[in-house]
Amino acid sequence: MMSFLKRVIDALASYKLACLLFVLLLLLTFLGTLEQVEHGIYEVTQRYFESLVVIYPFLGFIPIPLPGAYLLLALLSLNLFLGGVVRMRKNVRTYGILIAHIGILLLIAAGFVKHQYAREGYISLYEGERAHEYESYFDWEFAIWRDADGPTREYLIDADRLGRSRGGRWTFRHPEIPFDLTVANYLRNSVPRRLDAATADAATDDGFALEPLPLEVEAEANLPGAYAILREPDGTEHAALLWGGARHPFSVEIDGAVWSVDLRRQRRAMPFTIALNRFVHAFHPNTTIPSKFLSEVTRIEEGVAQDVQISMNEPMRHRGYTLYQASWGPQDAPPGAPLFSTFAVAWDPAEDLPLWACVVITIGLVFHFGVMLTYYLRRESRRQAS
Amino acid sequence: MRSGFAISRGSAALLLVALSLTFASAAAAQSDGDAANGSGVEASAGPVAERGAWDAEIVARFGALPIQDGGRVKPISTYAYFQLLKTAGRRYAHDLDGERLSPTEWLLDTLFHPESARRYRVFLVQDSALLDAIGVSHVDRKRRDRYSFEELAPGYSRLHELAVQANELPKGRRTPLQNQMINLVVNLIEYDALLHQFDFARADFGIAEDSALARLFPDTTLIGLASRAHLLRVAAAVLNRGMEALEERLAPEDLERIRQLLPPEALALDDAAREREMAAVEALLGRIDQASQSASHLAVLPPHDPEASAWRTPGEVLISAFLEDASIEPYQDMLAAWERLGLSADDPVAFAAALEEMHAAVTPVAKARGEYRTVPIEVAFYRADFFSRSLALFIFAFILVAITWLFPRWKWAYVLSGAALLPPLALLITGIVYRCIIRGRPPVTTLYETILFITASVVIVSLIIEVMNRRRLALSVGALLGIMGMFLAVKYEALEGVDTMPSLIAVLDTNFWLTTHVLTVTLGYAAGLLAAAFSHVYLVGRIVRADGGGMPFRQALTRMTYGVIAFGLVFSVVGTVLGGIWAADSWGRFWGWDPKENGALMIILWELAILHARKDGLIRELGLHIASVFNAVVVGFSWWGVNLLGVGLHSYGHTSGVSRGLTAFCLAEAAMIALGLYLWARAPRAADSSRP
Repeated sequence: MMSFLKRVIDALASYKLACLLFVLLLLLTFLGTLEQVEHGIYEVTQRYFESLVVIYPFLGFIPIPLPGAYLLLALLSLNLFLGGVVRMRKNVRTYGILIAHIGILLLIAAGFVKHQYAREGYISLYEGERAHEYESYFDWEFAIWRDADGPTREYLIDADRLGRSRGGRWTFRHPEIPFDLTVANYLRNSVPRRLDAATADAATDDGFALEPLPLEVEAEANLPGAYAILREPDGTEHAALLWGGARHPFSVEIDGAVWSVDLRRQRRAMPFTIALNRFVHAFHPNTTIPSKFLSEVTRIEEGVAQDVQISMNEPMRHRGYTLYQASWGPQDAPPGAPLFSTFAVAWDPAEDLPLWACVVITIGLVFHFGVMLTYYLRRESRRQAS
Repeated sequence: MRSGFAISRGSAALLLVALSLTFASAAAAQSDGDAANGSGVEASAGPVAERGAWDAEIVARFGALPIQDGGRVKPISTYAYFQLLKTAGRRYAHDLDGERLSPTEWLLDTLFHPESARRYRVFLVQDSALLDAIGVSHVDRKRRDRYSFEELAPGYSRLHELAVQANELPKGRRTPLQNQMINLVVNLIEYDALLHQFDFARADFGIAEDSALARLFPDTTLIGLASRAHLLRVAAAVLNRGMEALEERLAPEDLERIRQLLPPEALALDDAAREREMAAVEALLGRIDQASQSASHLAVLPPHDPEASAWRTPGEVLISAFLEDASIEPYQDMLAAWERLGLSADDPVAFAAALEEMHAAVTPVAKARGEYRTVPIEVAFYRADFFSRSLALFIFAFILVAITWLFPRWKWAYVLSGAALLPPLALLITGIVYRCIIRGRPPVTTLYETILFITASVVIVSLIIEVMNRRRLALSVGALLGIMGMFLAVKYEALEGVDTMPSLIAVLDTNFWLTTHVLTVTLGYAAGLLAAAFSHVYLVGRIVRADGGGMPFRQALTRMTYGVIAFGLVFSVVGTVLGGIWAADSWGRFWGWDPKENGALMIILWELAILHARKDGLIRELGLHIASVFNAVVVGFSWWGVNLLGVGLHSYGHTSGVSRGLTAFCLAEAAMIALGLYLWARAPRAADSSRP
C-alpha cells in the first residue's frame, strides 16, 4: 500500500507530469484562443478554462474529450507543490527555482480565489445620477416585488441556473408572494416578435413570442427571455413574456396590490454610493481615437461625501471594491447630447496577490539565472584560459 | 424672424459702401441684362503649368511644414511618406518622364500640378481581378501593377458601389478582393481630395472686372472674398428681402446713413433685376462653397486659441467665414501664404517666397502651442533613414562574418566583423531613441516598434554572448537576425502604410506600464527567437555537416540555446504577470483569457515544458533544438498570429497581409522541425546523449 502511495506521489511530483500538464495547457490555450473567433471570450472561458473537461469538436464534428484548464491547473498545483517545493533538492542552485515555484503557487491560488469569490459588473450613470448597486455583465435574475412608495423586499431567482438546461419549466413559490411563478422556455439570447414572425412554440396573450437568437460573440450583448405564468391561488393566470431588453417589468394587480416581475441583470449592492458629477471624454484632434475618459464622481458613505476622479488606468479603490473607467455611451449620440459614463466594478479578495506573486517569481528567477550565469561564465573563462 | 446670419454694428461702415456699390451696379446690370454669372469653379480650375523638377531646397522646406494628421502634429513630409506608402505600396513614385520622386515631391506634384499627377501610376492594384470587376482595362499589364488616377477613373462608380457593399459585411467575412476594393476606393478619394486641394486658389469666381461685385470685392481671390464675407451675406439679404431685412438688425442712425448713401436706383430695382442680382450672388456663394470644400483636407492651420486642440483646414476656416460670419483674421497670414503657394506653382521664386511666408505664419503659432518642437526632429529622423541604412550595414556585417567562417585563422577579420555589427546596431538604437523623443514614449507602443526593439535586443544579446564565449556563432546569428529584423520592419511599414507613430488610445496612455510590461514581454519574444535561431544553426549545421561533427560546436550551441530560453522565460513570466497587473489596474481583471494574454501564456508553457523536459532527460541535445524551433512558432503566433484573430482587448495592428507571411514562417519552421526529427531518427542514440 505504501509503495503504491509512493508511486502515486512520485508520479504526481514528477517532471514528466509537469511536462504533460504544460503541453496539455498549451494545447488547450491554443484551441481556446482559436475558438474565440467564433464563440467569444466569455463562452470559451467557461468551456475551456473554467471547466474540468472540454469536448473539443475536432474538424467540427468529431468530439474529443480534453481536460479543462480547471482540472489541469489543480493537477499542476499539486505537482508543483509536491515536486517543486516539498521534494525539491535545496541548495544554492535550486533556491531560486524554489522561490519561483512558490510564487507560481501563489499566482494559481490568486486565480482560484478570484474564480470562486470575486464579483464583477458595471454601473452606467448620466451626469447627476447616482447608484449604490452594480449590475452583472453576464448573470441574470428574476426579480419579484410589490410596488410601494417605500422600499420593499425583492425576491430574487438566479436565472442562469435555468439557462443551463434549456426548454424546462420551473415553478417558484414563496409564502409572502400571492402567486406561483412558472417560468418556461428560458432562452439565453432572444428577441420578442409578433407571433407570425416568431418561431417559438409559445406566445403571450398580446401575440408576442420569443424568437431564439444565436449567442453573441460578445456575451454581455445576449438578452435572455422566458415565458412566465403568474397563477393566483384561485387559479387565475396571468401570462407574461419576460425579456432582458424590456424597459419595464411585467406588472399585475393582485388583491389590491401591484406586483412586478422582471428579468434583469443581477444586481449587487456596494457599501457606498457613487454620484456622477461630470464626465469628460476627449479624442485626439480631428480623429476618433479616444485620448481621455474621465469621470468626476462623489463617493457617499454614511453621510460623508468625498469627491474622486476616475480615469483610464486610474481607478478608484475603496473598501475592497475597485471602480474603473470602462466606457461611455450612447456611442451614436450626436454632439452635445448627454452621455453616460460606465464604470466596471470589481471586488476581488485576492486582488493584490498577483502582484506579490510576481515579485516572488521575479526574485526567484533572477536569483536562479544569476547563479546559472555565474557558473556559465566561470566555465567559459576556464575554457578560454585552457 | 431671424435670418441665418448676424451683422455687427462695427461693420456698418463697410456695409454702407458695399450696399452702394452693389445696388448701383445692379441697376446698371438691369439695363444691359448681364448679371455677374461667370463660369463655375470646375470650369475655372484654369490651365496648370506643366511641372518641372522641384528645387531640393523647396522640397525640404515644404516637407518641414507642420500638419496635424492622425491626431498629432507632424511634418508634411511624414504625411506624404505614409500617404504614398499606402497608395503605392512603396516609398517613391515616378513622374510622366519616369523620373523617381520622393514622397514630398510626389505630394508637391499632386497638390500643385494635379493635371500631371493624376496620370502618375501610383495606385497599387494587388489583383487585376479587381479591375475586371470594375470594368477597367489592364491589357499588357501585370496581375499586380500600379495604375494612375486617370486610368482608374472610368471604373470609379462601380468600384465605389462594390466597396460600399463590401463595407457592410463584417470584417472577417470579406474576401481579399473586397478588402482591396475598400482600400482602393479610400485611396482614390483621398488622392482626389489632394488633387483639388488648391482649387480654391486657382479658382476663377467669375466676377467681371466692371461688375458691382468687383467693386465690392477688390480682391476676388477666395481669401479676399472671405475677408469680407459678411458683405456678400448682407447683399444677398437685401436683394432677397429689401432694406427691411436690415431694419431689425441695425441701429436707426446706421439705417439712415445707408438710405442716404444708396443711390435711388438701387432701391428701385424691379423684381426681375432683383432676382437676377440675387441669382448672381447665390451662384457666387455656391462657387465659394465648392472651392472652400475642396480645401478641407489638410489641417495646416494651427489655432491661436490654446484651448482648441484641432488644427484647421483652410476650407474649414473659409466655410466658417461665409456660413458663421467667423473672422478669418487670425488665420489671414497663413491662408494668404497657402493661397499664394497655389498661385505660384509655376514660379519657383514666388513659390519659395510663399513657402517662407507660410513657415513664418505657422511656426510661431505652432511653437506657442508647444506642438512644433518635434517637427524638425521628425524631419531629421526620416531624412536619416536609420532603418534602411541599418539593414544595409547588417548585410555588410554578415558578409564579414561569413568571411571569418571561410578563413577562421584570420583573427583581424573576426575583430572586424564584430566591430561591423556595431554601426548598424548604433543606427537602429539611434532610430529608436529618435522615436522615443518624438513621441515622448518608451520604445515600444506599436506592433511595428516591437520589430525594432526585438531586433536591437537580439543583436545586443548576441554580442554579449559572443563576448562571453567568442565562438563566432552568436556573432553570425546576430548579424543574420539583424538583417531579418530590419527587413521585416521595412516590409511591415510598407504593408501597413500607416503612420508608425500614431496617437495612442487612452488605455495605452501610461509610460510606466509601456516600459515595464511591454518591454519585458517583448524581450521574452526576442529571447525565444534568438534561441530558435541558434537551434536553426545547430540543425542546419548537423545536416550539412558544417560543424564537422564537432561536439564542442554542438554543445556550445546547446548551452547558448538553453541559456537564452531560460533568459527569455524570466522576461516572459515577469512581463506577462506585469501585464496582468496592468490589466487589473485598467480593466479590472488580472487575467481574461484574451488572445494576446493566451499567446504570452503559451510561450511560458512551452518554455517551461522545454526546461523541465530537459531537466528530466525527456529531451536531450537534439530534442532541445527541435523544441526550440517549435518555440519560434509559438512566439510567432503570440507576436503576430493573435492579432489576426480580431478578437480581444489587444486587437491592435491591422495585420492584413501578415497572415501569408506568418503561414510561410510556420511552414518553414515545420520543415525545420521535420529536419530535426529526421536527424533524430537517424542519429545513433549515444551521440545524442550529451547534456548541455
